[in-house]
Amino acid sequence: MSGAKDDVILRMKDLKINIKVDEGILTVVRGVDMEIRRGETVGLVGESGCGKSLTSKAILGINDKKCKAEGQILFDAEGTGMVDLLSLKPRGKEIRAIRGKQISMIFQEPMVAFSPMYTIGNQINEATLLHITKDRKKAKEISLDVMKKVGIANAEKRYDQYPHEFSGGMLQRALIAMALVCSPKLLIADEPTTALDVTIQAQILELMKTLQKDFGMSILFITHDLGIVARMCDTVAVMYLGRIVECASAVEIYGNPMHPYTQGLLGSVHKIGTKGQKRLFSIDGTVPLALNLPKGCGFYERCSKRIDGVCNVHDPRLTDLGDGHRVACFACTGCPGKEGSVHE
Amino acid sequence: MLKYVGKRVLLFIPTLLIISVLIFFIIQLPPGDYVTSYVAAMAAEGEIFTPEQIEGLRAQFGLDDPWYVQYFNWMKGIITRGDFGYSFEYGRGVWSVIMDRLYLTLAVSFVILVFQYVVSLPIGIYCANHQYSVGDYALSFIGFIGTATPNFLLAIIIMYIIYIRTGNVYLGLFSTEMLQNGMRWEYVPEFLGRCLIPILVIGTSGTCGIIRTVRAQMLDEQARQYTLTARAKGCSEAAITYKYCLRAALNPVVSGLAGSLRTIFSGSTVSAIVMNLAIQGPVLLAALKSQDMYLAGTIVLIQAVLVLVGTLLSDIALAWLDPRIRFSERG
Amino acid sequence: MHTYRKGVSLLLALILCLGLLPAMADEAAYTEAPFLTEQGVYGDVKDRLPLEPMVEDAAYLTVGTYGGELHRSAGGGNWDAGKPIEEGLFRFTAEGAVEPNVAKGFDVNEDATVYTIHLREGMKWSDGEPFTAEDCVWFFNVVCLNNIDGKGVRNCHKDGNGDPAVVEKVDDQTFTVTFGTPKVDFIEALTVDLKWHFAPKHIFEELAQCVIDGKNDEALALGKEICGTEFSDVGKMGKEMLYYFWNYPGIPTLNPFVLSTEPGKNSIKGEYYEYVRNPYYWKVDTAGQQLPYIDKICYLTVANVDQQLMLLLDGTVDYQTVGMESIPTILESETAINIYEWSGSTWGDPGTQLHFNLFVEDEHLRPLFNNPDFRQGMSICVDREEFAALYSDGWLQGSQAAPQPGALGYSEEWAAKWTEYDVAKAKELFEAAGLVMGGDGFYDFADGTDFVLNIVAVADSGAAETYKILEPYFRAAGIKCTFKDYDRSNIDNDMMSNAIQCTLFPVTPIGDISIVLKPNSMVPGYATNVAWYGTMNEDTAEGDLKKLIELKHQLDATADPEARTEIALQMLKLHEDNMWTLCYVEASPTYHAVNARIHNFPETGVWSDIYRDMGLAHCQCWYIAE
Repeated sequence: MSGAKDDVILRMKDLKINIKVDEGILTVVRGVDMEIRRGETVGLVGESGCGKSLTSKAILGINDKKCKAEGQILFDAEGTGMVDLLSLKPRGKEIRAIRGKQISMIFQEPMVAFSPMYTIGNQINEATLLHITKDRKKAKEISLDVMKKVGIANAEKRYDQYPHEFSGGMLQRALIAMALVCSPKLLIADEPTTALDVTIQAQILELMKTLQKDFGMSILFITHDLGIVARMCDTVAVMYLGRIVECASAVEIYGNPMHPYTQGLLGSVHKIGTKGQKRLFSIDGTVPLALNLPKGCGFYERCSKRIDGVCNVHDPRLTDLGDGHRVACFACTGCPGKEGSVHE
Repeated sequence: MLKYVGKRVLLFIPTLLIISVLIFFIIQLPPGDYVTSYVAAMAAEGEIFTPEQIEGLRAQFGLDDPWYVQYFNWMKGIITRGDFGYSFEYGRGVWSVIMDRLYLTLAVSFVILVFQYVVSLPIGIYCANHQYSVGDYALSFIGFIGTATPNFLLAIIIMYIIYIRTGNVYLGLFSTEMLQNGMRWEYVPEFLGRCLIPILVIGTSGTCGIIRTVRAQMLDEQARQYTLTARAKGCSEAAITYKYCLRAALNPVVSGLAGSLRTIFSGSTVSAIVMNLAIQGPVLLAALKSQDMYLAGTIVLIQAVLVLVGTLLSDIALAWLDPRIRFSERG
Repeated sequence: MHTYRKGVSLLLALILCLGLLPAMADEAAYTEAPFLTEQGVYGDVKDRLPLEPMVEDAAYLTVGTYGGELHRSAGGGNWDAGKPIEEGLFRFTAEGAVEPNVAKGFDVNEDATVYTIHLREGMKWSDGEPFTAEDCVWFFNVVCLNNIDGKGVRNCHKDGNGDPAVVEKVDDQTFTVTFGTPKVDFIEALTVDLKWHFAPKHIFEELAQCVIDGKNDEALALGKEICGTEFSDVGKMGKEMLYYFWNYPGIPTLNPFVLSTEPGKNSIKGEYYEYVRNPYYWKVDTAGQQLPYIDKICYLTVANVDQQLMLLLDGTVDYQTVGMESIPTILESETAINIYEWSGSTWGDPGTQLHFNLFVEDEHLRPLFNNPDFRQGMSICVDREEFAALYSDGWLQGSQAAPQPGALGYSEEWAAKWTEYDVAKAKELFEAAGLVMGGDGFYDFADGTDFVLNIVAVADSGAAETYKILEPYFRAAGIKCTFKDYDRSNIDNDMMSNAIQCTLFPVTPIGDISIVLKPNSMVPGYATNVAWYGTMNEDTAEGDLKKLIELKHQLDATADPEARTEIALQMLKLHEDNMWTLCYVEASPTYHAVNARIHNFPETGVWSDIYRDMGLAHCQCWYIAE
């Protein structure tokens, strides 16, 4: 990977995640490299099942016990410098000090993200009490503060209410509040607006942008909605079948998509202003199962630019094509010569 | 909330009235009455009654009135004087007979109930956290055996083993010395040992159900999104298990408490007989067999009250436990 | 000089006499239990004993040592605690003779109309108050005549016309009982019917007066004061306190043991209760030691009869009557337990007694049951040898319902009557009785009605197992049977309404020590729970049964002892001739399992209610020694 190494707060190196199932071992994430810089919003895009959620959850180590992660996730932790998050015990004190404090995560469905047994205030305050201060009065003040910041009206009253008394949008704000109360370096947002209706969506995205500026944090934005990517993200990583196939700035991705998959994705989105009743483009075929994957490029079967004998034999790696635009495709970068080594 | 409770309590009255009528009617249903069994018992010891004496006894006990008259008098006594009637067998007021064994019954049953939950909850949580592990299977297996084996059989087996080992039959909670001299410090070890048998026997029968319920509920809750949120927040596993999952998992367990209030009052009957425990259960059985109507009727009536109260209490507890229930009540 | 020597001789003689005095005084010295001495409140034992205490001097007794507690298990019954410690005016010996007990003796006038009872001077109640003839006379005149104790005037006090006797005090140690007609068997009848003839007047006088005056509330309050129990009505109270008096704390008795007054140990309905030694007990042993030897009898209540055996085995309990099936287990146990065998008093083993209700209402069954051919057939169709082997594992022999060896009326022929095994003859007899073999291999009535013999029994009595052994014999002889066992109280209900047809292991087995003393099971109309004559009484009896009842009346009116025996034998002969009841195995003895640390338990005896069951064992003479 090229590019400045300064300001990188998170670096994933060759992350692989295997899941043990009855039929065998599912290699869902097959070697992901990624960088997130300070203040940057990185979008992680891909279809369902390509491994985006697993990748993001692996950062915090909150995947299911059945998932085994390999590789490295280096994080610039406060006070300790670069630390490999995967080397930390998933239930240990070190990772728990990072979760919620330095790296926070918000989830897709805010309605089920909170426990119905406790008030919103209690749950937000829990984060405060865990990471900031043990003084209950002070903690409550801090929590109320952040609730107001995310735009929850009547914060004092809302503090003592239960999740089932909130609307979807309000809950997502509360979730964001809970994630931000400790001013984390990195916020991982796993499809936070998918379950909300469009107007609320816009509000939440606006909020996130504002907060990012206020808090000076990075966001890893996981989504399959290309429209949101365009609005929110500085950098975009396109993921297919457990691998990043293209990674570039948002402008570059939209302006100059190189990987056939990216091209297909962009092509299949209905653009406002398109004339006529053109049929929506869709990529041939379906995502193969992560079990018994064929050799070579995962996109081979569905690719219009595939090269027989090359693409179905060798694994393409992310290669920098200049300006930080990286693609993993033989058709774009050329066939593997002396320099390219073949992945298993 | 208060209105809700008030409404429920008001409903008690007609419910209890109907129950009391049913109880009374059924108890006196078998042919004969207390005098019949009394005369028979006396005959077994060699004492003969003439028919005139028998009629006299009947009149004396008020048993020659039709059953609804007897019921009415009984109810009148309860409502106006708090007098629950007279026990023919014991020759004194019903309430004093019940009081005799009340404290011991409450103590024993309460301890057993606590034992059940103290043992089952941690095991249930452990089994959920270590699903399909050896521990999970082993503990569930023990729980199943405890439930499947009839209590009295378990009691007999334990007593037999103890007899073979020590030559003593630990029958009853108190040894003769304890009954003679009252409780003393040197008796405490033996007393605890004697308590252990009924606790084990009666306690294990209920544990399996609770273990499996808690386990299933916990597994359910652990799969929920909010545990992920909590983990992402940096909560410890313990907090996730006990603060979040357990509270939600307790819902069916608390519902189950509704019936336990009644069980605390009367205790387990068959086990009590086998182990010679001086608790309320055998008293009720004997009263029913000899048709000592007011005693039997009062005990069953109290049990009915306790079931009603217990249900109400567990409903209140559920509402406290789970805010969602509270909310729907307000609507 | 002469005067001087005389003086010295006199002085010496005087000194000698003085020296002898203590020795003479020693001869009349009594000793008491350390248990009492330690408490230090009872004073000299001599003051507590009557002038001439009764001496327990039966040949089998040895002089014992004081101390120890007897542990028993109980189901909470009244008589279970009462019979062993009962002390009546007179008592029975194991041979059936009557001997003095509380009473020192009696005189009777020539025509047996006036009895003079002599009591012992200086006797005291267990609370130290003097016991005199006043207590006896007051008991009859106030308690019995006014029926305060629920039993009223017993049969023993009624003369030939049914009128009550007149009881009068002569002096503190003497009272008379006068009858309108000669009452020859008064002393025996007294010892059977009433046993005691006294109650503590100083305790109950006021209460009894309130009852008579109708002041019920006051009477109940007094009752509560005396024994701490609040009774529901005076009838119940009178019964409990004056009839079952030994069950209540605070009521003085003449018994060797008195119910403790300590809270927690003084209720027979409680888990544990004690009977403590009576400091004023009026009997001594041959060495002058005041009886009883044992300090306390401790009762532990058990919920279940089986548990009594368990407690016996582990030594918690010292004494228990047991069935023969338990004996191997007992002998195997580590605790040293002796088994004593007493003979029973019923005719044949109660578990194998088959009673047909001769007064059954069904028109087909009544003539059938009353037909001796049918009964004979039912008797001889059973192979008694085989049956006895199966029933008792070889412990007992087959027999018939008849008096036991040694009892009045015993005859070998009777015990062996109808005991041969002859199925063919049985069938002949059935047909002679009018039954007709049906197509299903079972006999029916002549008019075609199905004949089913419905046998019932009390649940958990063992009758079900016996029936399983018996039924094949009946079936082979062509008799179809059904069996049902159910709750005791329901069976009694059915018996009282004459709804029973046939019983196995009847609630009241036939036979007792004496047909004269206790006719209940042997003469119709004298009890309410006897299966073989149902609700028959003298108005409804016919034929020999009526004759039996008439003979009983005759017996009651006859004075001469020899003539009475003659009549009794006639009554027994009627039984032998008619064989109204059947039995298949000889009476089993009563087995007593006694912990080896208990001494002076009589090795032989007879178990009968007339002898007060365990009362005959005289627990006041038992002592404990390891």
